[in-house]
Amino acid sequence: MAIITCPGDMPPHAAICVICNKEMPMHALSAGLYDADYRQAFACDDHFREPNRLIIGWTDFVVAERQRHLRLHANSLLLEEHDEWFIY
Amino acid sequence: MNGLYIERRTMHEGPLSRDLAYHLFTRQLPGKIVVIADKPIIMLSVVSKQWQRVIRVAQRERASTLKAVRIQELTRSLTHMQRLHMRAYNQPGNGDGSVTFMEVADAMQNPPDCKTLYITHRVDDETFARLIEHMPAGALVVKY
Repeated sequence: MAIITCPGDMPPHAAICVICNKEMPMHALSAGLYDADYRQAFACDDHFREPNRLIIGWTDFVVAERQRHLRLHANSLLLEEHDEWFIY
Repeated sequence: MNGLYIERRTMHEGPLSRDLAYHLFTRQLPGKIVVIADKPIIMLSVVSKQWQRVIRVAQRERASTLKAVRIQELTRSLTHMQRLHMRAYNQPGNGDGSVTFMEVADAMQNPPDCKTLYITHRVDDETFARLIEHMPAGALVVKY
């Protein structure tokens, strides 16, 4: 079992796993990083059985979200301020 | 529940510290992290050891991939992972840590204000409510 409670009046029953891109019920998901819109992202709990895939999956997710974030804020004069989510 | 995400973890294989270290990898960016443990110093020691293993897996993945953007991101991530500061709450001589290990009694006196809270042993509902009362909306509580 993984996610058992989500915030909000109408919490979601399912979400997309950022690693395998499948829609999964919340109880099969684990919460990880935020996406470029500062929303909580999830991955299947089962991926914890495969450490290599877990690491590569989340890394590729950050790459994609970083690029999306930069596109979203491409017109901003102070790009670095918008990039703070990604600063390690 | 304060607008929090609550996650209950069950062990797949290996010790709790291993699962916690890998989970930590997926949560290392969103803010401060607190781990509640019966014996925080021992937990700090074993999680640090597992964390070094996660770093080695990430280094191996970086060495074996040919994708430039993935290599770049893993390099960024590894720099952050190697700098991640773990400390026990009552350890003398340390300032704030990115990951703080504390006993439930200390956490009851100073409820943590963090984005991720790991609770590694059973707590009653009243204690749990007190532990999460200062956590911001959208934060994550992981219960083992």
